[in-house]
Amino acid sequence: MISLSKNRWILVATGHFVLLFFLGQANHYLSSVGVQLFLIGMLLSFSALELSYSQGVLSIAPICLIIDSKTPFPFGYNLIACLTLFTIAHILRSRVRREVTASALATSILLNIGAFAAYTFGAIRYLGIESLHFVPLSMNLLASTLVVTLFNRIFFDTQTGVLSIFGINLAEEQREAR
Amino acid sequence: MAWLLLPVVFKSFAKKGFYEFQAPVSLTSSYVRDLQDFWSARTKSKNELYEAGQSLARLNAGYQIAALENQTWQAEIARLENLLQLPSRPDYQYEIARVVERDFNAWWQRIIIRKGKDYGIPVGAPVVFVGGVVGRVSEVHAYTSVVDLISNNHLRLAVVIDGDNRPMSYRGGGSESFAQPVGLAEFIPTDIQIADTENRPVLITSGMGGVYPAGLKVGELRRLRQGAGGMFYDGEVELDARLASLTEVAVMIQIPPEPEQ
Repeated sequence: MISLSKNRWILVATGHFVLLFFLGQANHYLSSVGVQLFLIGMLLSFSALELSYSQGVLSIAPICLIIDSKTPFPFGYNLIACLTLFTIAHILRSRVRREVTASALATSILLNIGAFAAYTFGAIRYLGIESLHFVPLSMNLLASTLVVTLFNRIFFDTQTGVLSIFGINLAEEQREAR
Repeated sequence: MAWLLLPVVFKSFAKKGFYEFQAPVSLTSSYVRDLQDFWSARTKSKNELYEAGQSLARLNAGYQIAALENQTWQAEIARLENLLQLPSRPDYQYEIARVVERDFNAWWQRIIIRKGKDYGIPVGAPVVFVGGVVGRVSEVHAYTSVVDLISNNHLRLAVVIDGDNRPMSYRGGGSESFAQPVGLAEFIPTDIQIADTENRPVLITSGMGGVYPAGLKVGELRRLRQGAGGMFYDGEVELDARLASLTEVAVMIQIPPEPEQ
């Protein structure tokens, strides 16, 4: 029998995958107006702030590889970019008060901007700079930041709620650790 | 760092594995969308359905006449080809496929369609819709295929202006928010002008390069500017607005010519 407490990354990765599914549906309908939402920062933020390093990596890696399999970048580009951002956020998490919603939101927004920049760099490197336009890039980033601002707390609460159903109380564990 | 050292074969296998792992989820969502369309059609009144049926019958009648005309033209073309001993042009089989997912962003524009290796879709096959060229198949998976749209920067093709046989080069120009997708035409002869904005020059495929058959609509020339060398114009191409909301496309699969007896 798998211990879900020791393998909480499975639950978190499933939650991330569900979010990606809904994001894909939203982007499908938004394509007609030329706007795409990009929320990877929110996933990285939850894993970096709420899980241990190894559990966080395990929850992020399969999701990054799924995204990687659907992008025109070399396979693994997204994984390396996201794991780098995740590691930076994980190292710096002791400096922020994780129980404060605003710090989680700021982390999500910063990680999202970082991931967006990594994708833009990848597009310049592998697809060419000619078709990149400032207006759609900034529109997509603006729309994504707005959605992260609106849904970050809901996403964090939902993930924490699902973990608590399986007897994993993150807030209590963090208090005990302090 | 360890990832970079992994062999390409492993990465390729992992990419296929991860893609096929998530593919059923995307496929299911597209079937659910079809079901939504079905049930929304069920809510229509009988009068609306009757009117839709009538307009479809009119369209069918028009298409039947067009099909007959096409048969006559094809017979005439075959007769002339035989008479002049010309090599016959490639024949295509059209595979109609539903769009599973539209992935349009500021970096790339691609769609995933609901047919793959199971229907014999080849990599590189041209994809068209009622408004002209959609793009080219870039990846083929077990039950789905990925199509790069013609607005993608790396997609290039040889085009001509409808009614003019001088070849030009076309490449995708990326996506625009709240605007139609665009492309860029290069090596446009300087005698080409856009005098009438209502009746702009239409770019069609030239048939050169062997991927796209000749005569498929690509877009309309919107703006001209002096090219880098000064001998030609570069032009902005307005692509069909419906490209951003595609629900069904046709993949053109070349039928290999029968060996001569």
